Amino acid sequence: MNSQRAAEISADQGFFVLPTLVVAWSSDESMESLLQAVRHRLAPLTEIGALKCLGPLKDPIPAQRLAEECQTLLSLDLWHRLVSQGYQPSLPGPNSLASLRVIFIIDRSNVSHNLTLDIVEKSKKLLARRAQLMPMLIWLGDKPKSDPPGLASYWPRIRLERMASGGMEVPRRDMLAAVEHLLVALIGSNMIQYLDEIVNKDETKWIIIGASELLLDNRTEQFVRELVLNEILNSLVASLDMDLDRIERAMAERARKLRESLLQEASAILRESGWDVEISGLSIRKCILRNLNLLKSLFGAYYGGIENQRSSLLSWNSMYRWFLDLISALADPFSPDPSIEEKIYQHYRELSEKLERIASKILKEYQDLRILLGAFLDRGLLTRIPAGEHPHRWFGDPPLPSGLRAAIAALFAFQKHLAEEGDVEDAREPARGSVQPAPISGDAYLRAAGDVDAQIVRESLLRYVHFARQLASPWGVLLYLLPAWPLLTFLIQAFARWELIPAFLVAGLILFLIGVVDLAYHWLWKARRLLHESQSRAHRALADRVLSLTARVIQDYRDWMLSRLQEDELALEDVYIAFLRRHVAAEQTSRDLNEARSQEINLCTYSILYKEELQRWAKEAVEALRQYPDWKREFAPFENALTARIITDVWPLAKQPLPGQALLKELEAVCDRVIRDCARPVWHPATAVEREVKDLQGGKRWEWLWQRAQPMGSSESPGLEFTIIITREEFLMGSTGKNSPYWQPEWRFVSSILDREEICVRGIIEG
Amino acid sequence: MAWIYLILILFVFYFGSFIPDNDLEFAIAEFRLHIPLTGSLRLLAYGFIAWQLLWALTRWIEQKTRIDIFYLLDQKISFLQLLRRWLYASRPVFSTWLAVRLAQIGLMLSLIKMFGVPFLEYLRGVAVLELIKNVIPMLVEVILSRFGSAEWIAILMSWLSGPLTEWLSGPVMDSLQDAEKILLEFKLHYMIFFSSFMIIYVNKLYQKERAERYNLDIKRMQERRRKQNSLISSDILL
Repeated sequence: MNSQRAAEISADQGFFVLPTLVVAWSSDESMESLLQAVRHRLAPLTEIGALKCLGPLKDPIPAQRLAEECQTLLSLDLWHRLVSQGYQPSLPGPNSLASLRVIFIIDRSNVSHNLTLDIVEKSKKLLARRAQLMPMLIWLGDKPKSDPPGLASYWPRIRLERMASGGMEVPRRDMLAAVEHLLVALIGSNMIQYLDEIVNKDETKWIIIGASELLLDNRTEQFVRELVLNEILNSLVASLDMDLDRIERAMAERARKLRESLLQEASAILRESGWDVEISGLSIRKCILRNLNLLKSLFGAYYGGIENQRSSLLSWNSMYRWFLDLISALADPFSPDPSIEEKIYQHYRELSEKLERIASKILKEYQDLRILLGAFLDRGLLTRIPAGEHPHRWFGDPPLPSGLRAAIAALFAFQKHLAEEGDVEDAREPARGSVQPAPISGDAYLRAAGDVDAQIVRESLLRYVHFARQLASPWGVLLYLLPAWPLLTFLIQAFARWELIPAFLVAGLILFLIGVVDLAYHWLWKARRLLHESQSRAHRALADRVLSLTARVIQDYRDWMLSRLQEDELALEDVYIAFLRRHVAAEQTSRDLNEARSQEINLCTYSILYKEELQRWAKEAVEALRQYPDWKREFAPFENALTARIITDVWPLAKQPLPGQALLKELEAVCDRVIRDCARPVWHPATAVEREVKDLQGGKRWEWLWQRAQPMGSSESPGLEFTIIITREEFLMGSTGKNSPYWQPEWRFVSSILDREEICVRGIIEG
Repeated sequence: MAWIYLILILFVFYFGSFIPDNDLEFAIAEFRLHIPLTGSLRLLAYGFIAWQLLWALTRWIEQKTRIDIFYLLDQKISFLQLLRRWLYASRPVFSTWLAVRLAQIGLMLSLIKMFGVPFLEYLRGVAVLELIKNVIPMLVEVILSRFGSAEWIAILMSWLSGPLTEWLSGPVMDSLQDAEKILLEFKLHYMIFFSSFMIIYVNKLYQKERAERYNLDIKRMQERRRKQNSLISSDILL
């Protein structure tokens, strides 16, 4: 923007700003701040390296060093930049040398010894084939009794004395202020060319000068920056003294949802591995093995103890098959072969590998959570969060508080609720203790688990084998009952006095029924129950292990997330503390701004604080900062660029979080950049004065400037008097410009590269 | 085998009408002397001897030939699984002890029938009469000589010589007579005593045989395993 503006000026008026070296020769330390102020005010030149200042030097500078310092200004790059910025029409021609301006400030106030000014001649010789030196002299103090040797080499020769024209004494502070304005005018405008036009160099020995200035308050940028920071940080560091319960409730719900979703994911994986899992919330209602291969290897063809098969017994055929399976399982107990250890181990290993898929789920949850917690910092984000998350009601009516404190509280509450209780609640029937996560992991553990569980399966099934070995067959029962048949016949005969045949038949029938009932009770009821119990016990060991593996994986990832969140919380707290301190400082500066006003800061300087524009500027800068593209790039959904920055870089996923102070520095740097680049206002003391300073309104500023630019010095032979106004041409238009009654027709206007100050230079030419 | 032979003997004796089972009677002139229970005892003796012979013979043959007959049976009629599903099976419990319980009942009834009638006869003809004629008057005398003129003595005396004597000579004697009559009329088959006794006796030996066979089985298995192991180890050595 600067370059664009400068280009416009150059096209209109043709600047001839040269690389300039300022050499201050003074024993006064305040000269240093003067040079610094000049550098600051001529920032466009300082930034491209076209302005260098040396001093204050107590002793004269050697010619060799001066030549060396001048050489640093003879860079082709610098000249290219001067041309591109419009400060020079073109590079020096092939037969001409580059011009350099050297301004010597010689402060004679505290120096008494004699002085020679032949340094320039020597330097010119040293740089004879490289540059054309244009030395200028600003002499502070009384006129020398005799001209110092080499004085004629300097043009213009400007003098400022403590005794102003009219005999009034000028305080040194004001004299230095005038020198500062003069330097700015000499370097940043075409004033030299104008002097060349109006002054006869041969007849002029000294020019006695006075300068005054209207300038925008030099704290303007600082005020804007503090206003911007105050506004940006205000919502982030908002205090949090209520609604903690609501945050806690909302985050507890969110934590529970996360745990449920993890369990759902795990149950989906279990289903994929052949387990029929049914969950309700965090409870596991059912976990039954359905993997037919594994079932057959472990339990054979019949596994009624593991699941209720009644639902599949819909037809006579299926019932008959089921009955046959049952009878064969009861009569011929199944013993698993020796390979079941390997099979169980393989199953566990496959399951464990599949369970690792929860990692992607937890990563997604973590990402979502970051965005969700980002909503505490950036309410504009809410409209962009997927509908499934539904955080809108958290921020509904009355909305949850926003800011870093709220985000930290939410994060803390989330961790608290995520860490509580077990991973899965085992709600299967019959009621049992909760599943404890397995303490170790890895292949060795899975192999050991496979061996142990296979052993449990074997032992459980062996219980039935032992029982079934003692069971008699129908033939066996018949053999036991046969001797009782005649005995019972005779007993019936004795008591009932029946005939032999009926008694014999009845006795046989009774014994048959007894045998059948006894057999059925033992085989179909007791043995079946024991078989079911054995199978159920073996299956429970497997289910417990599978749930333990699941619980362990969930626990691992939950711990991972908790550790991440803890780091995040610390990072956010660090940011919060840094931001809070900065906010307090910014608030103080904002308060200072309320008290600050436009005022004279010394005899010849009027500092103008354009508060209204400043606020507008700050507002624009805040808006620009919120949309700062470099920060928004990564996390487009965020409305506020700073939130995106906090979420991405302060709260990163796989790298060290950025410390709060570092982020603050970055924020300040970006703030400065935004203030300078994106929202720099086009304003001028002329407009500011009309709005802010009643005393100088309606063109009165011309009068003030003229009066305060009283030439500093008295002349024995005064010659031409001149007044130069250095401003921008557009501010000479209208009733507050040249048409104002306070404007004198003999005053001359000179344009400058400066857009934030208006300078008046008055001079008396001394012959 | 004890149980199988029992079944065999029981059914042979039950259906076998050729086996003499009547009580011994001796005819001296016109007087016929009938000796009760001798029929049952004779039957028992025949049965017992027959069973004992069969069982002892089988066991002896098995011992000598070192053959387990149940192994042979299982091989021939494998679906029965006699060894596994009958001999070693201890469940269902009710079936295994039903015959024994019935035998105990039968034996008890037989014994009551055998010794009940003489006992009731003795009570009716000797014990109760002796109680009325001698024991109660002696008791009265003793009490009087010991306690003299105590007031309750008169009450006790009147009760002993009055209601008690009347109750003993009336209802008690009638009841004894009725019971004897019932017992005499209660017909009990002669096979009951035989079956009951045999079942109880054989069951005891059968349990012993089961245990022996089981132990022998284990021993045989161990021996077989030892042989296998020694074969394997000799293979390794070779």
